[in-house]
Amino acid sequence: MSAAIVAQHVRRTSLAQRYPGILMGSLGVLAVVLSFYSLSVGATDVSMTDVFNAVIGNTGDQAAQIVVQFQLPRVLLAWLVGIALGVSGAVMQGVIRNPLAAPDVVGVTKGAGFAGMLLLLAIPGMPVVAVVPAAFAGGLAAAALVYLLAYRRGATPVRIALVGIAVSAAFEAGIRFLLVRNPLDVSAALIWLTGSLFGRSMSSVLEILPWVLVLVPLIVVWSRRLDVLGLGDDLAAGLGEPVERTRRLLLLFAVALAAAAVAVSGTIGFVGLIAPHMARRVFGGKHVASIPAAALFGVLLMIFADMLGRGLAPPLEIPAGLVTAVVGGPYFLYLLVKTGK
Amino acid sequence: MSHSATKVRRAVAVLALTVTAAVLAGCGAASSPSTGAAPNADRAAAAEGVSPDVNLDQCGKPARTVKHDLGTTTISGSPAKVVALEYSFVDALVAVGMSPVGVADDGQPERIIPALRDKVGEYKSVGLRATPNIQVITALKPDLIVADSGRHKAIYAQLSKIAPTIAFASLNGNYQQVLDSEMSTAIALDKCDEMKTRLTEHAKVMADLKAKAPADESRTALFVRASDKGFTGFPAKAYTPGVLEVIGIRSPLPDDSGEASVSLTLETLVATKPDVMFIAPNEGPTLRDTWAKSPLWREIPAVKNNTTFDVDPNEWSRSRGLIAAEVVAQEAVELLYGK
Repeated sequence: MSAAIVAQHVRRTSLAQRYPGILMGSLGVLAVVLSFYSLSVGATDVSMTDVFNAVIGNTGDQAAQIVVQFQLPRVLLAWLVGIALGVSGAVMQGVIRNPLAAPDVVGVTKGAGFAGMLLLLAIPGMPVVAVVPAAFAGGLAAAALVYLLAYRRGATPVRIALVGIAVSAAFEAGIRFLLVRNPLDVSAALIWLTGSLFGRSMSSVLEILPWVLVLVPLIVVWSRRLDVLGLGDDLAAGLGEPVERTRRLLLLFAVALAAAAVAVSGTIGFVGLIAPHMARRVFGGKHVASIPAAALFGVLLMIFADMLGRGLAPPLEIPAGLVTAVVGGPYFLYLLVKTGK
Repeated sequence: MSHSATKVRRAVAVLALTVTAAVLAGCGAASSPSTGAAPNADRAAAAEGVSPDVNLDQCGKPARTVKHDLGTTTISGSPAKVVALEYSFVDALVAVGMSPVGVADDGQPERIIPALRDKVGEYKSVGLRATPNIQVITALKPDLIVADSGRHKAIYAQLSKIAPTIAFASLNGNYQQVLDSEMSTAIALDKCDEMKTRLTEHAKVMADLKAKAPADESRTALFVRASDKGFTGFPAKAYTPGVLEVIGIRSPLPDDSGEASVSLTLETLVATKPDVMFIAPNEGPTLRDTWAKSPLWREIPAVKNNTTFDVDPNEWSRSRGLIAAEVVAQEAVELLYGK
């Protein structure tokens, strides 16, 4: 690495760390602007004027109004799912002290996916709303199972990660089995599984909203404790932190957030992994800044993915989960190469 | 932490895994998506071939209450702009001389079979059948939406806000359900008489085709979809075998499993011993190409007798309609008994 790049790198991080408020604020503004813009993106012509009219409740062109009414829950959901996944990933990476940690790693995603699929496929005639609590419970149960299996006088980060991968694989096998058993019903279930904001309404927004409203502020308040945990178990215990209890609680919060996100939107990969990475790169390792930043990056990723999915090949809809995978995969590889140097 | 506490935890974890496994094994036996009505309908009903569940008494009323799989919906007037979210419903519209303004055609208009295509004319694609674009549907300002009761269950409430929406089993529908849904759709469209006439004609077409088959036809015919990943067989109660049964050709797959379709391996296919095979292959290489190289493949009676036919998946599998049924039956008779 040349000296110039080092200097640039140092200047950039220090700038972001000196004025985190300004940078965070501009990220927030960017997310809001992108949200409004995304309301006008899609298969039909909806002008920005229509969007503003519809949002403030003016009766303009009626079709455009209805369109915005259907898009609005999607955009709100993109915010909530982005926040939930970003924060959940940031906490998991902090607690497990593994930059590869994400809701996918501790089994939440696959557990929720399996429970949702079980309900969708094995019990026909089940009301669709029942998927949400089932997936949520499945996510929590899978994470609990991982924790139990990993527990040996405390659950070390490495054990959690390894057991998480094994349990995820087992649930993945279960999902495959269900898919093979029910070939005819697969298409609808697969769309839920890929992760998409297609056809979501205000009720989905209300289902995830309480989790985000309660858990995210709680996690931000606790961000100092995350910093302490990051010093390593021995040092953290030496500083008077009840390591195992704090870890357990923080993991529970993160898991609940991720499970709520998967329950309403299906399994959207990479957001929980990449948003915290971006946040740490820009805002550094202090959790009090990196957690809200991870939330904002999560929102940006989700809005972008949903917008791209709607706007790329209308009237066909590309599931947001597919877009995040396509965008997230290469970024993740870039990260691996970069950290490998 | 004491040793026994660890043991307890381990026991709990093992228990949880066992329960999961048991649930998995259980659902193998329990999952039985029922495909509804018996294939033999009451022939005395006012509309030929339609089961008594269809509320024909609503015919001709200015405001008609239509029973469908996701509830009842009242439609007033004569809907002119209709959005069809499955090919079956395009079939129903064409059967009464109408055409849709919007079709969920998977972005592949060629999937609308030739028998319908000319009559359908210009329409707007509303995207994939699995995820139809709500924005485009709204912009079309339809008077009626016809949806699939399985695929579109989750967005039914949203569709209903755009226009009165009726939903029927198309994807998982059998032949009887298809006839019923065509009649119910016609009631919603205020085209009862047209559909009754068409159903009578349909019954005659099918009877004529059946007459072309020898009365003592004892061969069984298996209908399968072949893709690069799987070979899916359809038992007697599924749509296509249901159509073939009307012209006297039975399915070799037992009907007691209750499954809407069966995933076949080469071994189970050989054990099924079909005398005839109608194969609807997906584009590109399929499993069949691999299996055809195996000596086991030549053990299948249909292969030995040289009665294996490739058929168009759009006509034989995706369309699932009244007109499509005539196309399927016609082709089956031609392939098996010549013209």
